[in-house]
Amino acid sequence: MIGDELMPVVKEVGMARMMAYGAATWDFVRLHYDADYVRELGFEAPFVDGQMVGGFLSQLVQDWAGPDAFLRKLAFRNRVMAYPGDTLICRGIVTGVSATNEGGMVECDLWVENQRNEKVVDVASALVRFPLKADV
Amino acid sequence: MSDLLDSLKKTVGQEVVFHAPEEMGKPSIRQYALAVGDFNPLYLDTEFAKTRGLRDVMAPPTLVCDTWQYIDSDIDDKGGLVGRGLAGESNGLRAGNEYEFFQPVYPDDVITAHWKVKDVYESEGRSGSLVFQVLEANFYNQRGELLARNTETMFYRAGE
Repeated sequence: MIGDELMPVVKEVGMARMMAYGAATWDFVRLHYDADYVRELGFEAPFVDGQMVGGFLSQLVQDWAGPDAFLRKLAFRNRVMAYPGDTLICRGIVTGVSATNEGGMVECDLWVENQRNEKVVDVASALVRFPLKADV
Repeated sequence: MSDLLDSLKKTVGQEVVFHAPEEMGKPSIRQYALAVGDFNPLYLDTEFAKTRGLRDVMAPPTLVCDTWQYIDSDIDDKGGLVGRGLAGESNGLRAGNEYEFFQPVYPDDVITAHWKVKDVYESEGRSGSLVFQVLEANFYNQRGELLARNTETMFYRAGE
């Protein structure tokens, strides 16, 4: 199982999804949609909220692990900003497996690339709990 | 010591607590799932969720760490909800997050969020000196059960 790759999740991030994310998180910070405002602050364009990429990583892991698994930990470092129009490819690989009192634990390394092969998120990791066989 | 580092250092140890005025609610869960584009039936289909041992749909795990819906205030001129910040400045950028999830968040959970500034430090980045601020948020439901913890690192450009 160690070395298994997670089925990648690919997200094309447009301004509409960025707006939807801002509304869904009650976060109306202008950095993520107001082009004039962000240029005044020295940014080239509104940029994707880094936590949204965390949402994509959660999806990557839960889709791979299945509905009986519980995401226990997720950590990520944002490296390169993502802009509207970018395609984000979320990837992962299994790095560790162990049995604990809590359940079967699987660790994964995760990362996110854009269409220019830049690392948008790196490093990232997840810890997932699977029910022990006797509990299924 | 730069003025920025000096002012952010003073935030270390500051705490703020928010009590949501109502339950999380299924519409919030569905709206977040829609925004992310994550249509997992664990988050959207009550009958399916019950077959997996949940008592209702659960929120996507990162929702409780991402949302500000537990703050009952107004929008400030930078677009943040009034009172949300512990930084004193909202021009910080995200360096990263570490989430720990302890149990599913359900639609009928009423969230209490405890935010605290854990640390502030200066570090040399590619484009000069940066000041980092580490915050910790613990999220509880109405029974005082710990649902999730978010350790968040923001950075600020110094030397201007």
